[in-house]
Amino acid sequence: MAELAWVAAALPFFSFLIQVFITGPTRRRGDWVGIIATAASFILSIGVLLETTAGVRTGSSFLWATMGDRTFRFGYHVDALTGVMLVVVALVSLMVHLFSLGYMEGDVRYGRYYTILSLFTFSMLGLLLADNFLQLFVFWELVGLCSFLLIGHWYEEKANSNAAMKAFLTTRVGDIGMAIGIFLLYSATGTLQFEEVWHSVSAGLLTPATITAVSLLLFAGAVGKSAQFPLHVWLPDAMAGPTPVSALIHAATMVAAGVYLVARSFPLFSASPTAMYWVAAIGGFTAFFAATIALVQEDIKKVLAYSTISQLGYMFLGLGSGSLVAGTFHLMTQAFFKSLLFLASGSVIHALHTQNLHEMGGLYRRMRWTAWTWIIGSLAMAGVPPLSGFWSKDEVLLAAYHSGRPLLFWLGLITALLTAFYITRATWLAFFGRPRDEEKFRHAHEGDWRFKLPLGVLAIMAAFSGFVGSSWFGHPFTHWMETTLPSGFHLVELEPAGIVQLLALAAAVLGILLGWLVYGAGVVSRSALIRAAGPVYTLLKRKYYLDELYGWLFVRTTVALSWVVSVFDRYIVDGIVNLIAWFSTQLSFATGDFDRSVIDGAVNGVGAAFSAGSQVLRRAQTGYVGAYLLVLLGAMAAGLLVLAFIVD
Amino acid sequence: MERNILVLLPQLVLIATSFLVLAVDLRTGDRKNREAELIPWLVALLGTVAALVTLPLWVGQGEFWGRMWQSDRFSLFFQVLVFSVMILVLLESAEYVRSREIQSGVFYALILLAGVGMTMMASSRELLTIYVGLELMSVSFYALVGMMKNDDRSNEAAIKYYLLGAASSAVLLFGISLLFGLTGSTYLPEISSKLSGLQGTAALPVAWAAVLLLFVALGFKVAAVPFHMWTPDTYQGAPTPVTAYLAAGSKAAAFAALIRAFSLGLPTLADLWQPALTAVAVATMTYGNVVALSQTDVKRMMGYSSIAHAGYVLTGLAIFTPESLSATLYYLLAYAFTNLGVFAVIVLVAGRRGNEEISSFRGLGQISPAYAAALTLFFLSLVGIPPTAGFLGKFYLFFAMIEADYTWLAVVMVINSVISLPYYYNVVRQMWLEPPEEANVLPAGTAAGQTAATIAHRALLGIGPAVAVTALAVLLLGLYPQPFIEWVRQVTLL
Amino acid sequence: MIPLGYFLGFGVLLFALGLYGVLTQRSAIRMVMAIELMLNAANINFLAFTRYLYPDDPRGAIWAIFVMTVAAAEVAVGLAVILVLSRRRQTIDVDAAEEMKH
Repeated sequence: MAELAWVAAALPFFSFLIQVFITGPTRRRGDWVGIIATAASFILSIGVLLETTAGVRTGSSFLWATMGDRTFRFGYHVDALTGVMLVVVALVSLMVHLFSLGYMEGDVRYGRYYTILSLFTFSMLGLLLADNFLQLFVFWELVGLCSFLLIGHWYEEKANSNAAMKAFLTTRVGDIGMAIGIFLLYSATGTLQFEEVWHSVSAGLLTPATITAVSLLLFAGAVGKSAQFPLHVWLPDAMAGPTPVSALIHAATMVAAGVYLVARSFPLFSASPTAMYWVAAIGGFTAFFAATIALVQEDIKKVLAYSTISQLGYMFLGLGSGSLVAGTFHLMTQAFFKSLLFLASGSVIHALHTQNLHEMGGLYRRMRWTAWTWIIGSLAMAGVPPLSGFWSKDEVLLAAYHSGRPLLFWLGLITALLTAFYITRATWLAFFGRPRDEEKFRHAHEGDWRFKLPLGVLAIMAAFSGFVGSSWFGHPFTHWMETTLPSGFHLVELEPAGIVQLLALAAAVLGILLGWLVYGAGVVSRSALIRAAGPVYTLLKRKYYLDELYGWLFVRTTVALSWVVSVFDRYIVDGIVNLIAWFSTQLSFATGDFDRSVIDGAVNGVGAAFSAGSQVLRRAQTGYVGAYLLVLLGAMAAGLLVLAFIVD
Repeated sequence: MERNILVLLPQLVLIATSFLVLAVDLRTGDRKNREAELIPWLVALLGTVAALVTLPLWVGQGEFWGRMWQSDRFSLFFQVLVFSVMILVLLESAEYVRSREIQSGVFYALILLAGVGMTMMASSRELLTIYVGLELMSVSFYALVGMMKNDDRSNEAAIKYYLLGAASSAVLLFGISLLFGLTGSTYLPEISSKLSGLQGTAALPVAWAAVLLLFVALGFKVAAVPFHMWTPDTYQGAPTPVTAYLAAGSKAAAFAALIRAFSLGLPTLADLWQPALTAVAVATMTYGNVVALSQTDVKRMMGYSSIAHAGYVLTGLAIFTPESLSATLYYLLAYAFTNLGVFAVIVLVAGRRGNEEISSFRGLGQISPAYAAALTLFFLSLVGIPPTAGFLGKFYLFFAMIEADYTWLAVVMVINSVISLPYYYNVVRQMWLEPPEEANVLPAGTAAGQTAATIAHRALLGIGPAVAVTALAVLLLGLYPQPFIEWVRQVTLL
Repeated sequence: MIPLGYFLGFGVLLFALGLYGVLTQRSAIRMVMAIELMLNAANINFLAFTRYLYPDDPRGAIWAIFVMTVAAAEVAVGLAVILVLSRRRQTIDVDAAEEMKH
């Protein structure tokens, strides 16, 4: 089965071709073609996972290009890491395909949507199967392109097409670094095959400075793709795309490609303490930073977007702290619970036609299925045992704890608390309390099986997928990852620390409790006040106290903090991007002016210089042909002058 | 020294076809109906295909006709390239020529003759043949660019191209005359051996001056900064298929001559021209990309884009290793097909909308998704994003640079390709992320709506096949490059 | 016998004169004439080199004949282009052709 792994990527590609050339004009378009292809990919992926986790590592490649005496190959490589990722991507993609049946029904570009979805699935699976950096880069660009096209799906609104552009251009900034990193790696090792690069690293053929430089440059690509500070600005805007797309691309798969890159290159990164430090530092900081912003978002998708940035930061924190297991494990669990949360929010948005949390409320009564799956997802994210997020977050914090960087550990812990808090807030505002928009609430209803089935499947995964890395079952995930490392590399065994588990659990519980106190209890007390129709002194006082707490502790301080951070986000980081754009436009116009004024002026100047005695020269006006000739021949004369100096 | 008429067969076929085209046009010239007008076009197309088909009758390597004609893999490569370009240009011409009231017989005859000139430039080691080929190509182009006699811009473009081109030819000749004086020969290998004997003598500076003059003239044809001034104007004003022909054919032929002249005739002076070419290459790519950013006319933008690409290609010659020369040829191949694809879509859009403003591409993704997707692919190729021909071309150049310790140049090129991103992206954005202009989405019930819709969806003869072929070529060159790399590597074993 | 240097000096002078003309003239016809001067400068070089340095090799003379032929063709096309200019804009002043810029 593992030898057929490439078929898993080929199937969505054929589906893409079929949709482009055959089913395009048909009424149903190619939706079921895509679903069947993705389902087949998923089944194949499971086979691959079963074999690779048993220790099988295989691959094959064909000669793609010979340049000089070097060869570049194109092929696939599977090991347990690939196997896990294949299953995650294929499953989430399948669920999103199904969910979109209902969500995108009647959309003006329904066919195009499914076509690009197939192309994306192919590209993402291809990225995972790549056995060299070049191939990885090829698919890396392809997924970026699909992301661009899907963010701008509803391009009639200017904001959406702007978001698409922002995503495309911002990630490109990171990609320059990545491209240069790949060149550098090639010039240092003479190969781009993963296996051979790892071999050069372990054989000590690379200087530490080269390893650090290459790692940091590759990490720049990961920072762009995985929306880490300071290149994270595109991801919240990318929520302009359809919600299922956000679930697939901007939560579970493509944005995790950066994490996958670092995980895949772990033998390289782990050879450079500096690079590891930066991976951990950027990850830890982003995790905290994005979580604070998530606290005050009113748009349900924005909450999830910042939450995604924050969770991706966690993964880098885990990897940078030296634990391959922590990063990849959290990557897997996050993919499930975050895509679940996105799809659940999609279900809500589909029912209410709003994304604003303050226009929701009480939806639990109308949408039980959605509410329960959302709750499972949010508890998993908050880190409540025994749901998946608990195990993986624990692993990340454990890695940070052992890495000897206490600041990062504490940042991670506070983030865990903030995470639990903001997801509780969102849960309460959306599903509990009184409906704040009666009109919308009246029309809210649960979707049919096309909504329920994907939510149910993902809820099961969000709940139970964590067991593969749990101590209850003897950490099978750790053993899988062990098999992916090349010979000469070993996983660092992390000593389990009870204190870490305790603190993580405490953070989660505290966060949820605080969230409930502020949003749940506050609302309850308000409605109790109405029902009782008479103020109860202590209840009032408590309510007042809660308002104070809310006002001072959260609105004032965290809002202020979030405000500072989002001002920074909006003005400084965006400003730099805008400044670069402005500068290059100005430069462009300036060069245009150069042609106009300087060269014309020069022609005039030449005319003036010679006009002293000659009527003919006076006629040397600023004809454009003349100006062009002057440049042509002037450059020639300048060249001759330079030569004359060389002769001297 | 063999005399063998077979070695000239493709060229003879083209020349004969061009006469036939003129004759056919005289016969059918009076009856101006659609079918009659297509006859000269069909004859020209068949003639070019015939020329391509005669290539396998290739008589083997060697020199013919008193060293005036060189038949080798290099010339074969460029003949295949030029003939393919011609076929695609002809496919793109059919409707354009008809709708713009261009004299079709003359137009097609000149296309064929320019092709003969291009292949001559690549098929000789004798400067005389290269010169005559260059002039045949250029003179044909002066007329082609000005073919739209009722269009001021076309005439203006022709005037500019003609005056600058003629001046640069004179510069070329003066340079050749100096080389002749120094070495007593215009046969490149002989020039090379004589020049190596001049090392250290007082005559060497004259050789340097000659190299400079040669580069000015050939740099003009490839549109290298600072000899690029004609490019945007001529590209904008010329009939669109001619612009495509200039960008893909004329540029490739000029590079063929440049590579032959510099690597065969002047390798002993490489220490001098390598740094100069490197500097020119960097200036060219940067200038082209930066100025392209503020363009609003697609053809003009493509003019600047072609300047930028000339810079990329020049780096290959500047590095001057066997691998970099192979990479240069690969890039030319990739660039030719990509560019022809772009211009095919431009012909289509201009045929529907009447102008080539970037805003005319608005909503193309909705009106003709296939063409919009193809144009997106071509632009990705021009930027160098995988999995396209342009990516592999750039990658091959990067590879050559890194192997030759020119990593900094690779970095400059990466940065340049990022600078180029916004202006290509702008068109892509117009196509996919902007709705079509109002006139095209009127409900089909109204008469006006029907007309607009019909125009918006009008298919143009020849464009479909041209786009399909170029798109396939761009993908093939990007996805499975190995056979083509083998080919260009054999070619550069000069 | 006149030394070779005189011919070469004459050639350079003619070339420079052509260059000057092509840069300063606005009339398209005059510019074409100036370009002809540059071409002829090259021809003088070819012939002088043949006569003085390589008297047994006819190649220089062959070049001169080719250059004259090609130049005639070039001028013919050029005049046709200029004719269109004069017909459409009632002038042969190349400054009139300045619609496309920047």
